Amino acid sequence: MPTYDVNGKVALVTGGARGIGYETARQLHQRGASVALLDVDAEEVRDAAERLGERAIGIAADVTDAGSLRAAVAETVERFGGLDVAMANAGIAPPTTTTIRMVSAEEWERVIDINLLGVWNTVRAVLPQVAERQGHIVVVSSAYAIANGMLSSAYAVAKSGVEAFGRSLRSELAPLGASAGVAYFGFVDTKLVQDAFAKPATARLEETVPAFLLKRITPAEAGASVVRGIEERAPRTFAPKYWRYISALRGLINPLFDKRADSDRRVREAIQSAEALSEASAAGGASAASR
Amino acid sequence: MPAFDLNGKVALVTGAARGIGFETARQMHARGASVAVVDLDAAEASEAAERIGERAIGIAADVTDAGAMRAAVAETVERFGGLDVAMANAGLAPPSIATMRSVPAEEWERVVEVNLFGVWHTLRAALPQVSERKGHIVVVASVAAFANGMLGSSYMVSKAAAEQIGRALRTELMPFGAGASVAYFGWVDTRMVQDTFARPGASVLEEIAPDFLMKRITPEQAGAAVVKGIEERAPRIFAPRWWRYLSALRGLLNPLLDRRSERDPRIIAAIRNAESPGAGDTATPTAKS
Repeated sequence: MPTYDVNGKVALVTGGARGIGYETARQLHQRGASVALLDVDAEEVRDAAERLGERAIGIAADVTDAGSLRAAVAETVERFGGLDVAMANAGIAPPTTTTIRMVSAEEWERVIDINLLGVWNTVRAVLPQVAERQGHIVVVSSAYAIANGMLSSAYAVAKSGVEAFGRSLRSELAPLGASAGVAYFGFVDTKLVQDAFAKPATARLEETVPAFLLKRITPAEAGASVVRGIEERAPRTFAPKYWRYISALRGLINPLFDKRADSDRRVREAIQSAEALSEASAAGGASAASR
Repeated sequence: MPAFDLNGKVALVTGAARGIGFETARQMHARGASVAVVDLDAAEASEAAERIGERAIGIAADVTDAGAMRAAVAETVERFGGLDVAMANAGLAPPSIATMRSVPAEEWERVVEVNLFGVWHTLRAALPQVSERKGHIVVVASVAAFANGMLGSSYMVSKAAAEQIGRALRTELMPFGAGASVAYFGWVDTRMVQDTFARPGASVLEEIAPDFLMKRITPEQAGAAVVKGIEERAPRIFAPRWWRYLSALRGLLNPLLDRRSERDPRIIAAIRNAESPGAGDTATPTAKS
């Protein structure tokens, strides 16, 4: 018998149409929960909910829009009578792998808007229900909260913020009998990760990272780790599991890793090639605009 | 001879009219740098620059305004011929001690706007000059970057984010001869910290934290740590220095401390108090320099 039984509970998952969000919703549903899947595309999210069957609804909502999240929570409560569990999962990868110096400002800021402020908007919308019903909130961080964010800084910055967010939230919910957990994923075989690895600069960085870190787990495995975390009201879940140990040692490992990166030829080449690509596309954009 | 000699360099510091920013600007100036003192209030920025003396200008700019930061850099370059060092220091403490449930959304978002997007706009404005001239950037995070943020989450969230931007930036600059540091301060005796402790509910901090954690250092000491860090192109700057060891052990200590905090009756009482109706009504917003 788990600490927190999801059977009969109501759960809401943002970014629920695909990947880790969908898999977590599916497994919660399988254990007897009613689920509200939220995603930006109305059709996709309804399809996903239909695939789950009874006790599942798909709601179109944009996590950068606090009002649309409040409406989604209201719809969930109206349909299922309340809300117990929420997973702030929606996130995007940086569209371009490049440096802080060269990245388009709109692109960088958009990643923060979705991945960090989107979590804030989601949590604010669900808190009245989840706190009252002594439920559980999962915020989706990443191994990038721990790792160096070079060439993907917006992602690492947002995920590090989310981690701090989840820790604070858990402490603040404890007196109420509700709880929160931070979910950390390494590379999961989702569309987000597939797209990221299709970029040339990422391929160079791969060479600088030990192979075991690059091994991808399936969305189903990632979802299972979240479901177990909810049932245990766990403060942290890691998938793959070895990230727990890297996290524990991060204060010692990161300074060493960062120092090595300062003078690593492959890191320098990856940065150079990323900046050259950005320069070329900026020049292309400028000449297109001047025509 | 330091790795990076400040003599003859040009430095820009945001939030420099007071506190740690002012002290860092003053000490860089004492080592022969020209300095641009950037702050929200034009009169305060000019007055601070005047106190520093020759080779110092005051510029009014809001770090949440990307255009204003570009203009501040342009003015600095026009006046001093370039820009070598930038310190993204301007920051804001949460105006009230509140939980995520009880805090007004605008208040929470404003802290993130200043402490995270403010750093971002400062870096973006300064980077073309600083990277070209193989200079150095200091991102002011805080020991809050790895502390539990209960009752002040906007601050901890934005400082954790600032730490990550500084780390990535360093890695992206070092191969090309420029550099960056992340600065972590504990309690420094600035107006921001004085105001924080004057807020209703802040006394809980003093009750639950060990005394040595609460001891405040002076802005002069904090500024000296930053100047030394720039001269050494240090990846991390800690003041007080022992925070370096807590940072190194953060991955092991934080899960234990977080777990203890969930059961600490003083913390539970403080959270209940912050969420009780009328809590925080007397709090007044203040900006840090």
